Amino acid sequence: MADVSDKQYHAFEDPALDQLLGLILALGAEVWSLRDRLTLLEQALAQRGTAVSELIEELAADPDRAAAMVADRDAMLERFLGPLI
Amino acid sequence: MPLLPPATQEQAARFDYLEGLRLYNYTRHIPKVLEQYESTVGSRRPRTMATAGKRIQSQPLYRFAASIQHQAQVMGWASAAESLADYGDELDALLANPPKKPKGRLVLDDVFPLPEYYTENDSAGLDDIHLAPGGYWRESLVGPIYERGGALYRTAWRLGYSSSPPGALLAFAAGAPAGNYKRILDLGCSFGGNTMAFRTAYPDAEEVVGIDLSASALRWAHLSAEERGLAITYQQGDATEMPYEGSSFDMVTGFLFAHEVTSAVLDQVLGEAFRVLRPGGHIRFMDVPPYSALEPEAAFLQSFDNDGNGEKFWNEFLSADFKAALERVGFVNATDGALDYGQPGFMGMAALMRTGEFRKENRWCTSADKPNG
Repeated sequence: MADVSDKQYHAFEDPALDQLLGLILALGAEVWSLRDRLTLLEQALAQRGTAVSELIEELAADPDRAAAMVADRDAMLERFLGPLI
Repeated sequence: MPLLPPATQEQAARFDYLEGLRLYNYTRHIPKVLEQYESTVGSRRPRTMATAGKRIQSQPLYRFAASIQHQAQVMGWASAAESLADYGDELDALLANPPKKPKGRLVLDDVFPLPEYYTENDSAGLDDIHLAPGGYWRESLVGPIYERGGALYRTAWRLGYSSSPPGALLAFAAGAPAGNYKRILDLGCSFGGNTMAFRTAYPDAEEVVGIDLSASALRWAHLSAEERGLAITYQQGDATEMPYEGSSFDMVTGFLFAHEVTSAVLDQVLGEAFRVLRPGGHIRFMDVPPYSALEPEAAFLQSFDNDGNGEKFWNEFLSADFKAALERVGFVNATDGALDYGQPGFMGMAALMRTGEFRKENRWCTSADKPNG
């Protein structure tokens, strides 16, 4: 466990909770930044005449593709949750 | 404001996110904390800040809100500094080369000794003022960093710190009693927002002076004032021992300054202010309201900044009787109260943990006069 100085501000009695929340907040910043960029990418492509947003919805509705993604999803969950076992 | 380098998409998205995070805290978390508090206290209302604080701290939501408030501040400064890191040389050059024919003056002192209370900080820098790394003085780019990070604090990063609506400052400056104010002095002026408001409110004044410990802050204040065409003298100096003759100013002011020093230092500053003011001169400060003016639960929320925002003299100042401090050094007619400046319809200016929203009573004026003769 990381050493947390007594001097460091923490709102929770256990400073690890503040650290954990900080990690989530930082992750949130990354997620928002990626979403923002992805939206911009779709808008940029649309401006160039490629209606990629509609195409994404069509592909997402394809059951074959959804089935193909299951293995990818499970692999990601394994990376996330495997270390807890 | 002097032009800052543009933020990249990633940096802009990060600022937007942090602004949203802070706004969510103000508009959703804090009102809910207060709602839960109201529902638990019933008719047995806590009479002191400490007992109200115990109730509030028992709410997990408050803990989350306080932690988010603190961490959003730390992340904001880091993001602001990071967005300027690639432009350090250009910004340093901008600061080192102020306008050739300025309307005002910049008076710096290379060997100026900074007081210990101002420079000391713990190893993690967590008691730097407002948690900004290096406080107001160690970082040469503190001006640009505040321009961006301070604006983020006000939830208006796209507007910029010094471009945020100045309604409260102008109303504060113009709110002095009618008088002939030829020379005006702004104590602890930092980036000069208050100094510029007084210059604007009193265009016929012979000289408007801002004094501050930080050369870096004054460089930015000078650039900002010149860009606006405002003739202001910015001088590096310690407000406890000022290089001005007695009775040489008609009005002395300070904005969000008094809570940044110990009460012992503040007493010295007030003594100096009394000395440099002419008989009959006026002194006016604007700061955050004292605990005594707030309900116990609001006072507790207000106290967050002491530990959560690097405001190490916050409790000391907000617990003290500022009017009595003015009277101790000889001022008379001491009055205080919330600044009345209407509703500028702007969220960021004074959104503190206490209110969770923009409210004019977040700006508290304390004023007094030097007796005639």
